[in-house]
Amino acid sequence: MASATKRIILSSGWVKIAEAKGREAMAMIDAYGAVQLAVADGEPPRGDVASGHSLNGSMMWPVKGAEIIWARGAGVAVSVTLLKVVPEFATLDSAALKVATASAQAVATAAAGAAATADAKAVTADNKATAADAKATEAQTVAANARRAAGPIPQEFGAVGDGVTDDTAAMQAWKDYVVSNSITGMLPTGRYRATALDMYPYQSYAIRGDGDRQSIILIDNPDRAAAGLKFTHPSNPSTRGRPYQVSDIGVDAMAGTKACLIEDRYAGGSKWNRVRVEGYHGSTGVRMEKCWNVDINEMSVWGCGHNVVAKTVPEGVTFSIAASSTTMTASGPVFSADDVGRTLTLAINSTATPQTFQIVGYTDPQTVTVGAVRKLNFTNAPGSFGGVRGSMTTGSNVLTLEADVLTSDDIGRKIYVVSAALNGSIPRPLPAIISGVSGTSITLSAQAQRDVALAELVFDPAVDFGDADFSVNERTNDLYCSGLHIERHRGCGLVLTGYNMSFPSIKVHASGHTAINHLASNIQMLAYDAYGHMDGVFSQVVSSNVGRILATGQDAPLSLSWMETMLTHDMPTIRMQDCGDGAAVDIGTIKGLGNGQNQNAMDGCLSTDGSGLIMARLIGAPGQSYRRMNVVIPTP
Amino acid sequence: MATTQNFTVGNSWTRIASGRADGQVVKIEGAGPFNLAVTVGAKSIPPDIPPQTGHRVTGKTDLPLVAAQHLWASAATPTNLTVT
Repeated sequence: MASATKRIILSSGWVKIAEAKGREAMAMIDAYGAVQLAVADGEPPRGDVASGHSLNGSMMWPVKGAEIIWARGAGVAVSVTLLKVVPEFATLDSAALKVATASAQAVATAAAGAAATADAKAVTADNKATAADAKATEAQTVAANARRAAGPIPQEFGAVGDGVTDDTAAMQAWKDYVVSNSITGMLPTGRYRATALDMYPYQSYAIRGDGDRQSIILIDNPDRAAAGLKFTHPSNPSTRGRPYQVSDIGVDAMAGTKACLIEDRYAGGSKWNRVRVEGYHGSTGVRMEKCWNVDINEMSVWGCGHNVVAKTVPEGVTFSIAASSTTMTASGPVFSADDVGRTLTLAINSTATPQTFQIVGYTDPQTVTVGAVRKLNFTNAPGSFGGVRGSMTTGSNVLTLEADVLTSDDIGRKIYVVSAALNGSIPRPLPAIISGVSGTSITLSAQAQRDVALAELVFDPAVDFGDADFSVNERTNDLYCSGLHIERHRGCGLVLTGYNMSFPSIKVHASGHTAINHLASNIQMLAYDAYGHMDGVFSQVVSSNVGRILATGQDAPLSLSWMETMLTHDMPTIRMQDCGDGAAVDIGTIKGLGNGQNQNAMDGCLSTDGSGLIMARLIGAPGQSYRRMNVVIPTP
Repeated sequence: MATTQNFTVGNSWTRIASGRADGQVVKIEGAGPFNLAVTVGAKSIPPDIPPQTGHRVTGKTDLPLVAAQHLWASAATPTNLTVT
């Protein structure tokens, strides 16, 4: 909702009070004192305009095109309303739009022809060139008007789109109008700052921008429990909305934003096309649950995600381990007996891919034993411990962490406790919200359904397609995700569950060599309870060698057609754990698996606890150009 | 089809008309001075400017409103308005 009547206090300089924005309109002006008015096209009045038109009272002033009405008068209040005296855009039918577009094209063609002529005679026909320029400008204006005629724009509701002004009210009014008329709203190039917008599709509608780097909605919201663009019903989250479509926009977080950037529960038939989401580490970029027949085409999510390490490495402490050795040393005291079982990720330099080691034995504060040898030397390498783990008992909503690493700022985060819930008799992750933090005791919104000890945890994934409800009619069904690119996130990139989900092209790529600074992740991708099928071409899901795919729960028939350039570490690259009968991960082809590693480490890339089957065809491994794998490997 | 209605407005915003897609003109006539403001949106929420600001009218005026535009009126003392 936005007030179309603006009350503006003027100053001694020119102040913009009304702008036509390419439309014909009538500006109704009421000056509560003596003011001066002037009109200029797209800019303040020229410096040589010594005085404008005098007004002390009311007047109506028609504007169109690029005209802007300016006023000055120190301390005087002016009320302004822009009345749309032309037929509303919503009533323009497609034929009218075609006429407008054809007109724009005709003028553009004429301008191009005139410009060519002018070029040929440039020396002697400056006036023709000038005329051509004028026509070209006119063509651009007509084309812009034609585009705006395709749907309302936020500026018509008072939005500024400068990235500074709070456009929340104007954007909400724009969306409300688009929804109430079930039409397409156009989002012109600009940066529209908003705290939170109710985007729920009461009726079908569409939003279309100029591009994901041009039409940007800036979310400025420090409330972790909030959502920037909330497509979920505002009062009854289980009300499934009408189909909607969002195309060619970007959604960015402003500094300090903790809200999830895009949230949709119970979507039905929605489409996302060419959308970029970019957030700070520490919160979720996209969260969708219980979606039916949702198509996502070319969505990229940058940043976002959260991870909490079990233990921090003191500044300046580095690690060394020689090739073929299992003894790791630190440059300062950092290890303790509690570290056995923890992981440590090291980076050789700024370009090599980090590698993760698992600590299997404690010697002294500067020496530990790791689980597997490498072919690479690490000398004074920086490192990060892996993610914190926790334990729960059946019927309790208290999660006991292995270390005191959370604060009250973590209240409101989404968390997945691996294998702490049940789907029938099959373990699955427990999704919950953190509601309290007291030392290592963390209160969750949900109770454990089975005992877990040192279970792995996922905090606020970058993209969250997870769910807590497993009834047939509630879960996500038929999610088609063509071109999902998750990059430079922290912690887990993707949590995935549902029926019949297809990912023709997906990339989950953590921070690569910068993972040390971004904190290591145990789990890059958590896929669970995938009834039906969950298939796709997963490219470089774990190529950064930080974190892994964890497939768990009932069925878990995860199908990965192609994986490439994975490297091994003490934690398996793909792990099946606590799976139901018949669960299988089918990797069509893996290229480069275990490159640079020994055979044992290579075999350790794929791991199950005996509850699932991993199948793969391997090419390009050291010493083996081709190998057919059909492995069931016990827990390392 | 146009409909004439009467309102008594005072020191708060009262919605007196909403626009239509065809941009039909709304005729307003007051028994005394009153103020007008316009809002835009699917929901009918009063203007965010104080009552007795906005556009001052004495007598009568015509305004073209389009869909999702709402017209609000206020006055210093209770004032009868005729709106069509």
